[in-house]
Amino acid sequence: MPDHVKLKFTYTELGAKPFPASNRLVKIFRPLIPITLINKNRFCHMAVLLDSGADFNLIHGDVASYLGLNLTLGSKRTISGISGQIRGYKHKLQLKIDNYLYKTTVIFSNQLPNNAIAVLGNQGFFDKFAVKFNYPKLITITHFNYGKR
Amino acid sequence: MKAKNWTHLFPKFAGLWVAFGKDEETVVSSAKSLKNTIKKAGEKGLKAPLLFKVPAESLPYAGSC
Repeated sequence: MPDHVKLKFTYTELGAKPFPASNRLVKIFRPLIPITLINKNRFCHMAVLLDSGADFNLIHGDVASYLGLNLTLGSKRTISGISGQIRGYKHKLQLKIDNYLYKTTVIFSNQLPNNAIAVLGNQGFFDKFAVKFNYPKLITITHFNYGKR
Repeated sequence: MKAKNWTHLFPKFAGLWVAFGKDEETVVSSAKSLKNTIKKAGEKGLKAPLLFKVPAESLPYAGSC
């Protein structure tokens, strides 16, 4: 059994307008990684943003429905951000990154703004992994004390 | 390692769920709902595609909500 797991991911290049009325797109590199959310026998393989400024893992509510979770049965949470407050519901499930599977919590919300990206935040992700951002090339995710934390 | 190129997502897929092919760059299906996106990808033989909810606006980003 290894004492740590080290995973490597590339950044993802997207185009972004410098301002809403602009006709041109500038290159933006974001730390998006593929994960799999698992609830019992249902799963969803999706790309999420690594956001160390986020307190929680926060994902669109339709993913909860697809995973067979009853959204509003989770514990209620109010989340604030740049554009105001939203209501979300915290659920326990399994999260797989590459071949590493662990139990975590995710807040799902149907009130995410339409420009929001699903994020992995501090509780449930950054509290379990050491992450090195080598912008815009490489993201290295290390989990120490494999299986103990 | 080369960055994944998703520059083609805007404006065509803005606000939609997309499913990618094995290369994780080519969009194989898209829809407003996650369920339909997965269903359409499955009809093309992709059982567990990588999914992404494309933001409705392609603006610089600093937080989820």
